[in-house]
Amino acid sequence: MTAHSRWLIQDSSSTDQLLDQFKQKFTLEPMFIRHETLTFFDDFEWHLWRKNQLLASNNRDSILLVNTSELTFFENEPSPVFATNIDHPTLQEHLLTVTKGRRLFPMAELEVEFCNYAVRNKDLKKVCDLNIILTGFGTMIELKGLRGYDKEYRRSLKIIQRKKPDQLDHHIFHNSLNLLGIRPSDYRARPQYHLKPELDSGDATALVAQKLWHNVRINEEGIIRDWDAQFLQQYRVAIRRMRALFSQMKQSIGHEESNWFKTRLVQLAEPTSRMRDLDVYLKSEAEYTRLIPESFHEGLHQLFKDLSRERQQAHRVLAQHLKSPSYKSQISLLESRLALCPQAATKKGHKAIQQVAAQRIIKRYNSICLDAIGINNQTPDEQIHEIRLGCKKLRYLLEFFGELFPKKQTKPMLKALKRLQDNLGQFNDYSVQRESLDHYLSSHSVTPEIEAAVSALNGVLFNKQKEERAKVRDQLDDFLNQTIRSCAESLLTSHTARSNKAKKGSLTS
Amino acid sequence: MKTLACYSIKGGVGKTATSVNLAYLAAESGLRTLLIDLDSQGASSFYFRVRPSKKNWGKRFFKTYEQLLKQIKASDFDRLDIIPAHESFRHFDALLSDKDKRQLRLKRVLKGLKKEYDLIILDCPPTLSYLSEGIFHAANMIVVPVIPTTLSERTYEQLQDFFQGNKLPTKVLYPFFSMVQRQKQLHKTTIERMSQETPRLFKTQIPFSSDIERMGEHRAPVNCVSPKTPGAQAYAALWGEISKKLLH
Ligand SMILES: Nc1ncnc2c1ncn2[C@@H]1O[C@H](COP(=O)(O)OP(=O)(O)OP(=O)(O)O)[C@@H](O)[C@H]1O
Ligand SMILES: [Mg+2]
Repeated sequence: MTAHSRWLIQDSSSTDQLLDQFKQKFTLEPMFIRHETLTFFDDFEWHLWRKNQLLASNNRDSILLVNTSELTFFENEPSPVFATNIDHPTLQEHLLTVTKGRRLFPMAELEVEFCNYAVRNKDLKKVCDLNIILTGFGTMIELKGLRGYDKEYRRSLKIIQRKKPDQLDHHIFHNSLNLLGIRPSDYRARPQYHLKPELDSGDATALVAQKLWHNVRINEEGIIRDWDAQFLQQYRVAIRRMRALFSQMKQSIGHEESNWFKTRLVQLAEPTSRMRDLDVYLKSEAEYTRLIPESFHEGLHQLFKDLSRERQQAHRVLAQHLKSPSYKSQISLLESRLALCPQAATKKGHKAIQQVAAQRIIKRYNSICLDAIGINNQTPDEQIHEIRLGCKKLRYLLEFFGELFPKKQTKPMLKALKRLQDNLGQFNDYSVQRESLDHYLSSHSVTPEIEAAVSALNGVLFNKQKEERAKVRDQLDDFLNQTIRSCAESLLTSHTARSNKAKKGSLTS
Repeated sequence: MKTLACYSIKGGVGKTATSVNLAYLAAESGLRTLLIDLDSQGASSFYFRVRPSKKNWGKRFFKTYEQLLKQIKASDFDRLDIIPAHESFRHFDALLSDKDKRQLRLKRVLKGLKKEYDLIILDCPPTLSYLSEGIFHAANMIVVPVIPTTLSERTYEQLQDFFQGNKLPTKVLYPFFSMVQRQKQLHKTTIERMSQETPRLFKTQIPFSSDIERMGEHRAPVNCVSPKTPGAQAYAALWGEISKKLLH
């Protein structure tokens, strides 16, 4: 609302001249001058950097956040490790959303001098804020107007513009870090595949697989060092995506090769399951506590203490495994086969990926439609799970190959699919949580308090599951409506669309 | 958005000192605060070094809230803005002579500010007038500084009578002792008596203090210049009581 601008000045003598010129027209009161060595932080996925934000600590007692060029200080904050360690509620909430709770790593250092001046009129009323920030890579001049003092802002602007400074789009910290050569890693939890539409579908499959494999490998160190729970999660997700890929594309690379990879990938993921389960448990402590009456809290607390001890143990075992020769040979075997993939592409494997993908997507969509017929509140849970799995497969296909099509053709489908999956996913989560709680009780000898707490929790989760279940039919109807169907069908070339028309009548009735 | 008025029929009891410091404390606590200086003398504007606009805009004050928006000035402090007084505010009563509308005019025009502010503080002139009727309707809470003397006690009673006579809810009236000098016998006995009989009386008493008196030299809230002094601490405690009641 109030005016606000930034400029870059290269030499320090013109900064001094600038201040002198301000002093001729206004009273310039230095409000603070700080000299700091700043350490900048970001998470493994560079979430902050990619959103044009920077987080820094002065390594003593303050944190700074640059958000779309706006700099804010937060006092009494030690160097950050996780967003959850931060005291200041708004900063904590903001960082939790952006970094998704991931560990923060130091990524660069800068020597910085901040000077803040109040520009005052004859009454000594502040009429503008003048900030000067020096980083050794340049000097940033920042002028902020105050509401109701537009004339004074314009006069200040004139003083600065006489120096002909460069306009600065980003904060000087961004420029300085760029000049320091800081670049984000190319890791993305959801890789971009950059496939060409006319690429052979077998080769495209191999390309996607290689990108996903990169994600598997890059997360290993974070698991071993236990930096945060996302390393394991993303490691597992990459493996799961590869399995889905090989399974969906088996007609392009051949059943035998597809099965070979699927078997190896299952083996690879297996030793990580226990730890992931425990991570999921431990994450839900706060929520579970909220769900059940206070009289059960002590039991729940005991349970979580046991679980976190178990997790420590599970982590030791997993870390050992990931460092073991047998794991390494598993890896190198997979890598050598991946390098040769596809070894015997099928006829379909030589068809263009865009066409093959379109066919797969519409086929998946149709099969979900078939499964959805007759679903109502009485349908057994197994059928709901069937649909959930179908949706997952469709989601993977869209993730791998969606970029081959214009956004407007895939977006409505993706959006509707996401809503449906959220609903089905919740439904499934509650059921899995209940099962694993039951399993925990039957496989551990526990105190009566824990047992009581778990049964109470189980009851609450059961009701929640029923609530989600009641929403499924509406969500399905939304997903199966004509807009989404047309969207799916538009992916096919006119030639393939025609050959599918015959089937369509029976499905939409 | 809540509206807090600082009001008393009697002059020189500390309304302006209170408005200025409460506004500062509210903004510091995180509330987006607007202080409106309704007294054409412009004392609270003076304390924040804000000058009124040269234009004679008082006659448009009750027209639309957009008129008010144009007059808003930032203070030196984050989240605290001010509408400075203009000498044309002296003629408010002439503008409000229409009986049907005058009671709700102020309330209506302030409503337009609710997107931008969490709290509006009104520093009021020491009169019982059409404007004050508007204030009584607009405010969620009216804090009344009372110097513990017989005369001040009388004017507070007058205010209550006015409320009752005009079917206004006395439950928005919150008195507190201001400029207290305990060593004066009169103050002591008045405080003792009134504490027994006065509903909604705030516990905090603002002492007579030279730091508050000297606010005019610094032209800044005492809670900013010397927050550790007894006067500043008393205002902080008073704000604690007020915010608890007003915002629960
Ligand atoms: N607690 C206090 N201790 C000492 N002096 C005070 C105190 N409160 C206010 N004063 C001084 O008393 C004078 C009147 O105070 P103030 O202007 O706040 O009262 P007011 O009720 O707003 O007056 P008016 O009715 O003229 O608007 C001012 O000079 C002020 O500095
Ligand atoms: Mg006053």
